[in-house]
Amino acid sequence: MSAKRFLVVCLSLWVVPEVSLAHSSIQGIGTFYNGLLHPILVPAHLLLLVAVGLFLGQQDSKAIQPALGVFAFATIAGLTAAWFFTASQTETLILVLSAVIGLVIAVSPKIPLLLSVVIALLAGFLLGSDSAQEALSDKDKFVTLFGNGVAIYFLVFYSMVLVDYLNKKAWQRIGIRIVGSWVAASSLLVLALPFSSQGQT
Amino acid sequence: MNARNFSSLAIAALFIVYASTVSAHEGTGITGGFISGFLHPVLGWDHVVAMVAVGLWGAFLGNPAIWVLPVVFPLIMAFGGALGVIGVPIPAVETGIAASAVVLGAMVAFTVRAPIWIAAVIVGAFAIFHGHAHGTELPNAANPLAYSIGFVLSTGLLHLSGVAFGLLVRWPAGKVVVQTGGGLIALVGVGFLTGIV
Repeated sequence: MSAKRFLVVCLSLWVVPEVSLAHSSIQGIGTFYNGLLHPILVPAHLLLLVAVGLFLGQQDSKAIQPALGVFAFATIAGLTAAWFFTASQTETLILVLSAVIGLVIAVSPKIPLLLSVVIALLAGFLLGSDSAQEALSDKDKFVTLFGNGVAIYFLVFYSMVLVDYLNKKAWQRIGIRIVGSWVAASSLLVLALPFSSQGQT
Repeated sequence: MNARNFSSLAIAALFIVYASTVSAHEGTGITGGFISGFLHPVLGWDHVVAMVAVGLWGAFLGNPAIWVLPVVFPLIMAFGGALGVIGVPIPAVETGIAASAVVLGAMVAFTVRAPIWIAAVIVGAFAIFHGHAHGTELPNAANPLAYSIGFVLSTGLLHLSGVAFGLLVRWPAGKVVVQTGGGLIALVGVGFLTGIV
């Protein structure tokens, strides 16, 4: 199979419509706040957001700016994709990315700028595209996705700024690496779940 | 049936049918998953003492063990947990957990200054037992990811409490206190191994 055909098959499988059972909305708080709370109430999203924030906070300031810009662009692209279709199996990809980023934070190697940008791109797009609100339409859908985007961006931004601020003393850098190992461990455990005889998704 | 028996029976029946709210099984969804995961290591004393010992030993060994051990433990624990989730059996898991308290407590008590890679291997080996014990519970959790985050966070906080306590080694009297703590942990581990505790 050629690379192009493989890519087409992968994309087709990804956009196969199916019922979204997760992320039920909270009654009475309005569409914007539902969107705003969505990344906080979905553990996989929160895990990846914290991981991306910690990761970017560990990087040089030269790498942070383009990575944050790409993250914002990718999130908008992902949210636009979520407007049109409900992606499947995205949570697994989110957990894989969280595990990888968690390991990178724990090991804390020197990361090339391009890799930082790629990680920000993948994270933003996955988080945005997994925020589909198929029960809503038109204005409500737009407002919810807008709230989603605001929360995604600011959660990453604030955790990154906090880490950048804390990344001064040795014990602070150690603490960040330890939290990275926690993110990786939490993600890896759940990735093993599909292989369980009692597995649930 | 006399009147006294009848009234007793009526009172008993009244209590049986008295409606009250069922408080059990509140642990559903994300919150339930997180809380059950967070409490799993905390409610098992064999886990608690071993986790604190990891932090104590790390603090005793100084840099880089102070951060390498709390980083290595959750990562290897995740591997052990994955084995538990998949259903791969590990023999004598409970014995391994109790032995971890004995060995790690003794390392602190006798101020064993092992090279960092040996310390990491010892801690990593025991992490598999601890992870397996937590991992077998994961598929039944109300929310597996929240459970996983809860128990990793709880384990990590126990490490950090051990590290914080272990920082007392900077002072001569503190060193004695930490060594005594290690000795107590080893003794508790012996208690778990022999079934006394």
